[in-house]
Amino acid sequence: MKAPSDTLQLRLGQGMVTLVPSVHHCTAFSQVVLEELMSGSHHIVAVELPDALQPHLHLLQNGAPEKPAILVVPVEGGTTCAVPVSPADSISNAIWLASHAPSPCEVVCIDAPSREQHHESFRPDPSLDYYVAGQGRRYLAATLARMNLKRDETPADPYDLVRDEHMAARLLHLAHAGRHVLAVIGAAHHAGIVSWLTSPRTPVAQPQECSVGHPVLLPIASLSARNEGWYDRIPYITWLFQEHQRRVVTEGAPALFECDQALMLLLEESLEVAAKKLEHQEFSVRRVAVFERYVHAQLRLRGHWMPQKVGELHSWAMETVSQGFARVLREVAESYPGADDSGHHLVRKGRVIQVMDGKGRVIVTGATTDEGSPAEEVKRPNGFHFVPASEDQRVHRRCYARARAIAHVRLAKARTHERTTRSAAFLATTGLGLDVRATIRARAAGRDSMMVRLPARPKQSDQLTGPLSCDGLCPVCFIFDPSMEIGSKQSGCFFLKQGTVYASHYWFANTERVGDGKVSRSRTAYFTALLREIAPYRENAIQARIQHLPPHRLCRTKPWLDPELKKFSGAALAIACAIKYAGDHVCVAAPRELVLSREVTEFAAARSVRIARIWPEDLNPSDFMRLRWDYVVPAPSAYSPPYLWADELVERLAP
Amino acid sequence: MNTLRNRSPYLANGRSPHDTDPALTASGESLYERVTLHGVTLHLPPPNSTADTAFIGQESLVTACEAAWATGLAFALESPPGNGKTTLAAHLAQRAGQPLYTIQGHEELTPEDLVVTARISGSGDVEYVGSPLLAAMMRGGVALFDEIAKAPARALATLVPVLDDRRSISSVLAGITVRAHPSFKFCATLNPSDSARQPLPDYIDERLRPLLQLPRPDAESIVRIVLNAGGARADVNLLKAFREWLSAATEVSPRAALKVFRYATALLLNEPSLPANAIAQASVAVMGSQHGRAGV
Repeated sequence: MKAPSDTLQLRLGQGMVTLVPSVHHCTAFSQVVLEELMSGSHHIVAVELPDALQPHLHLLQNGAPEKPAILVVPVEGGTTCAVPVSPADSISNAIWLASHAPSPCEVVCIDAPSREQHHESFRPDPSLDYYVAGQGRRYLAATLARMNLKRDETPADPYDLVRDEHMAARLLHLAHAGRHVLAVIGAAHHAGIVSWLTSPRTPVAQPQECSVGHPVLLPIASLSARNEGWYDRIPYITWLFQEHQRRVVTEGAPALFECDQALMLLLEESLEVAAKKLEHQEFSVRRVAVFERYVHAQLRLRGHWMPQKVGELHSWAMETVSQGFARVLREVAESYPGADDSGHHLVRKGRVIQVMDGKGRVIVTGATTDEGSPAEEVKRPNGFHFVPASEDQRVHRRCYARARAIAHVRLAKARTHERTTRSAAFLATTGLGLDVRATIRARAAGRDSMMVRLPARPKQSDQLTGPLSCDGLCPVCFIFDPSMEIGSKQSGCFFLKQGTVYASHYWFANTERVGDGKVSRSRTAYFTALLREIAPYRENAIQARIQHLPPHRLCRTKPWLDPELKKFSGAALAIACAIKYAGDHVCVAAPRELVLSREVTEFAAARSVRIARIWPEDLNPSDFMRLRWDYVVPAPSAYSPPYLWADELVERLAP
Repeated sequence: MNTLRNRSPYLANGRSPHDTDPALTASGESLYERVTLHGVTLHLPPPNSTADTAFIGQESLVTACEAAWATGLAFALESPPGNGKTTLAAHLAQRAGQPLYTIQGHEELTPEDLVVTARISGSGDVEYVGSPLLAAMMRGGVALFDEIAKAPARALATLVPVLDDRRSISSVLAGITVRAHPSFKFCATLNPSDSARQPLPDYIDERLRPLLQLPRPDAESIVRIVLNAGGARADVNLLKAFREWLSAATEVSPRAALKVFRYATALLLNEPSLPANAIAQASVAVMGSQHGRAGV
């Protein structure tokens, strides 16, 4: 299996133009460039960079392709042109490769200069990235069609047409000189360039005239680059590609980058890490073998070369191996060996991404083309709409359901003595009756004896003794740090939209801003979910249900302000709050060291509420650990799912 | 084996020609097929009908299941009742063009029940009856072990050679060993509440990977399921009332929603009233007072 390589070739006069589409920070296209350049059939590499940068290309040619950086170029008129250099970016990679390949090529910048700020290269276009990388050999046609579609849908920047024609004219000129040109140009320009090359016409306008100042190459901190997707979807695979490219250039290894082999190397590394961190039963040989087969089958059926994101690999590992191994696999897949966290930081501010130095000074400002970004939300008077991260919602739902299911069984169970029977050949007594099955079995075995059931030794067991009486809204209380005394200032509430009915109360050990300040992360000491759900979009359903609850079941006062609960504090307050608004029982999921105080048990008894204890080990350990972390992320509106990027960021940050 | 396959009426199109009654023909003749293997005559049960089994939504889950089968892996589907595990298995069998055989897990299941049991014929002879699992293995069908977590561990031990590379099963009673047809596929379903109470033995859990979670479909998918199951011909106002109820209800499984809709349709046919009232009445009747009223 190999990466997509159906480049578009156009024979023009005595020369030839080979077009390789470029999608920023997408390793698949760097692979294509590597294969093309190692074929040795090109004289020139033409890249989509303003031709005014031509004298400064040595900065990129002499740089290290595996280190993320940004080339900052002052442009006449006070604006700045910024070119990202990432290990996965095919344009910067092509420039480096052209001068380090065994048969070096000349590099030519062919884009029209622009006084406008460069806007398109600070973040990969996720949808296109997913789409292109996933389409294998058909990717080019599909990409171009998509680009055309995009241009039809949205009014193109008129200057884009000028750039298309300028680049096409330069390519035509080079080809007519009898040169073989490898053109590494953004996929969005392909349709326009091919159209012009196949039927040249008079340019619609002349490109702008502008000069540039002296550029500088600024290193970018690895973590920052990773968070912005500069290492592509699976950083470890990008690192493997960089290592492969180094061997190709220095040792003459074959240029083909085997995706299969890269995945196997990722798996090997994960197994080595797992061997140090996990118990053996968490990644048995059989399960790992199943995982390997399963991954390949998934990719084959989806027509993909690589998993489209780390989350995909993670869930496949969960389904086949174990949660522990999935966690290790994720860690390895997201790592980029040798990453250097020194350097400048990328800070997202709405529609723009700023490059900052260590002292917080803005060096340059770029933009993102990520349509799902919260850009338009940032400057709203009220700021973002914040909602719980999608994974939080899933974990909460799973844990509540599990806790309630176990609690119900425990409450309804009673120890019984089950009478069991054994079969024996009939001698004098029929005992508990004829054993038809055993008689037939005996007959089949050639014995004509009649078999009867006789009482065996009673067996002790647990059985459900009656129907479950829960109304489905029983409060669930999760205690992580029983000994912590959290005051009201470190607490939070989630209440329903239309009214003041509280759905849950949280006591946080600490809260911090992560992900460039876009995500709020809290470590919960304990919390009480009175109405179970935290997902905002389930709220209508909860509203509908609570209308049928008696008033005493609805919490309208914060527990720390409730006179009836003033004798409780810390974790006891969380439990007492649950008891106060419970029907006939509450579930308390807490470590065994939590001893329910006499006040709590008496408070429950006075209200005829039964407390069902759940142990952390009853729940999935990783779920229980994840449950204590609370992520609040931006969303397009208060009652919609979070932005995709925000959820992905949480996936990376979550323990 | 080839003789058996050629004689089987179920292999031509992957379905029994007697879909109306899987056990008996119209004349009361047994549909159990007689086959002889290593000198032992076995009676094999017919497959389930999987005609027109549609599984709405969750395409990635279908891909995941097919990816498992494509590499010869057995898989398990886990979700609360009524979410469509069995329907998904039937849908997969239909997509694969293979007959579906269902083994029902329960507390009384014995190792024999999974392979060969014996019965006394009218003439007093002992007859061997193959299990649905054995039939699936011999005919190259899909074996669905429904509610596997309910089966006792000693019965499940029989599955070990079926689920690993041996792909075979042995009957102590009949004294035979059967190797699975190359097309044979296996899947199982389980409820989280069962697996919480009685986890699968490690040796089965290891062999039933991937373990795929079947999430509860969203309201829109449930509406599509209902429409696909004949709801498209229903009264527009009833559909509207159903949508409203569904959007407000919590934790409604597709099965329960379908029952509510069908029951409401029947109520309206017998006694014309407001569609919303019919839905309210049906939801309480189907789901109980707490759950039923919630969405009304």
